[in-house]
Amino acid sequence: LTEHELIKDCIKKNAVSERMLFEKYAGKMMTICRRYARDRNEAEDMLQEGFIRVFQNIDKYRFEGSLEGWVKRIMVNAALKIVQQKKIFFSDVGESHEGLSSSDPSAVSNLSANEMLKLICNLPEGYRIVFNLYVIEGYNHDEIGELLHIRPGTSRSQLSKARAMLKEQIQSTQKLSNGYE
Amino acid sequence: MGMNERQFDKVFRDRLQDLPSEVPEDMWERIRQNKGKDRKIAVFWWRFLWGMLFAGLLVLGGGYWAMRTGNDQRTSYVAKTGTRAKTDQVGLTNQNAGTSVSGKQGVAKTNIHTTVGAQSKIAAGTRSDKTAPRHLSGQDGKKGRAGANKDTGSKAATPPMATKDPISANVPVATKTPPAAKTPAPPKPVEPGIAGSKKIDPANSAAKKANRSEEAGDGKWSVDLYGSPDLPFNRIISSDPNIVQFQKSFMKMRLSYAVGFRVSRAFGEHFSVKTGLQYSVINEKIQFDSIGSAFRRRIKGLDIPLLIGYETGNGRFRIAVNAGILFDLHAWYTSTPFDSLGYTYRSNLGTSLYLGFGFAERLNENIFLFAEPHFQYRLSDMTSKGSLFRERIDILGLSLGARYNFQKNHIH
Repeated sequence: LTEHELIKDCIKKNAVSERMLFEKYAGKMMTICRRYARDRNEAEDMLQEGFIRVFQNIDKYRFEGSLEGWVKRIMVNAALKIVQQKKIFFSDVGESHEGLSSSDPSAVSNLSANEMLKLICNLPEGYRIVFNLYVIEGYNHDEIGELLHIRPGTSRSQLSKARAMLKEQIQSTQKLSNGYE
Repeated sequence: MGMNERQFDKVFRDRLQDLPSEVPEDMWERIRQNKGKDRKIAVFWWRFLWGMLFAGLLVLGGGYWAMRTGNDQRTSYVAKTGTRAKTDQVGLTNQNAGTSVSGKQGVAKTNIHTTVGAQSKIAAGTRSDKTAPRHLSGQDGKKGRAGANKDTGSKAATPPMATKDPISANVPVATKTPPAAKTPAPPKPVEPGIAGSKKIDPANSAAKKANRSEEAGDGKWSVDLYGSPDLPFNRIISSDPNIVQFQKSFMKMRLSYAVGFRVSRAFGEHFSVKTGLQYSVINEKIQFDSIGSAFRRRIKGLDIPLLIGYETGNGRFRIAVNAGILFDLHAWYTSTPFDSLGYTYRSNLGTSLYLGFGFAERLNENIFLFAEPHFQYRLSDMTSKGSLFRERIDILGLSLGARYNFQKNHIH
């Protein structure tokens, strides 16, 4: 079954094809949800909500760009909607020009994907969301401002703080591991 | 050597972008069940909307039927009472003319008989002048009945109903006059005073007034069905001008539309009150350049208009001014390919002011086609409290539609 046929069948509400589509993308989408969620339960809620929207709107897919990209965007949006249902405080700090020159490149590169994921999950909510949108999803600050209804400057400062916090965490992890060695 | 921000970000992006995570085993089952639930909710809302529409049409239909029934009864009543009055006069006239026609004969069930009664009245009244000698001759009591029978020409008109009273049978005799016999129900109002009595003048003048009103195309009730292409204009309100500029750089308003119906009740010759239901869709495009993607957001709303109209014109062409308030019942948002981040917007958009200038042209007896350029000025914020900015969308539109006038039956 090609992707095109799979989509066509999903539009026809074919349950087997819907399940196939779910199984094809569920793992990757779960990672996206985990990046935005506070905990695993919230991530599961996001995944559930996201796939419901995927199946509800699959007929709107125009076969432009990859299906994975389309599903991913819906998933991010579903995650944001759930996150936004509770009040997020984006503490508006001043522009941070703190670079990462002092960080050890190997310390970052040696991190496994799951360790990175854990680090992101430990970030405060505002930092985490902005970091995900900017670094992983590829939105710019103006667009993040539009999405979250915050000032672009707030988005910049949240990102800067997020990077700084991640750096601190990486360094702490590195020190710990060096200590054990 | 240190790592710059870009490199740092790239490491995270590359590692996490395609990382799969473990999915709970029952996740598919949960999705499958909730998918059905959402569909049921959607189906419920669609059914609710259709139900509302159906109920609205039922009310309109019922109102129309009740109006028709009421008018029929009234027409019948007016016909009866009018004829009774006329025939009484005919009787009087005839009696004056020396005939012995009773009022009972004139109790007709249709306008035809009313007219006949009127004609007989005319015949009796007018001819009594022309043929005064003959009637006068009848007045002496010798040739009266025979003369009347002969005069009315029993060959010409056989009464539609069998009457035992030979004198009654002579009533249609008065219809011997060709116009009455050939034109059973000419739709012309009875001229007051023909019968020489002023008693029926008020009734006749009321009928005339009603006719005038109907000629102008104004039944008391009417219903408008319309569709409107709309041009939305958004107002971003914020204490920070940069935010206003920033939001406007993303948001592009697109051609939108509204459809709806309005029920109108006229008060007097010019004024009316209108209400109904309007479904509107405001299209908005939000462009995100960095990921090469754009939202197409739709703000959909159900509104109840409450308008006061002033209308003037003739039977063919009408102009009107409608002004009032639109109350939002419910609003919801969708966007493609994303779903809306609806948290920013309220599910009730509050009120708008409405001002429209309508032009209507009669298509046939009951239907007008109309065009109504209008402006809707939103009074309430569409964004929820605590949002970074406040947004209000005003609309310039052109309603195009048809008006059905529930006209009264003509009373003759």
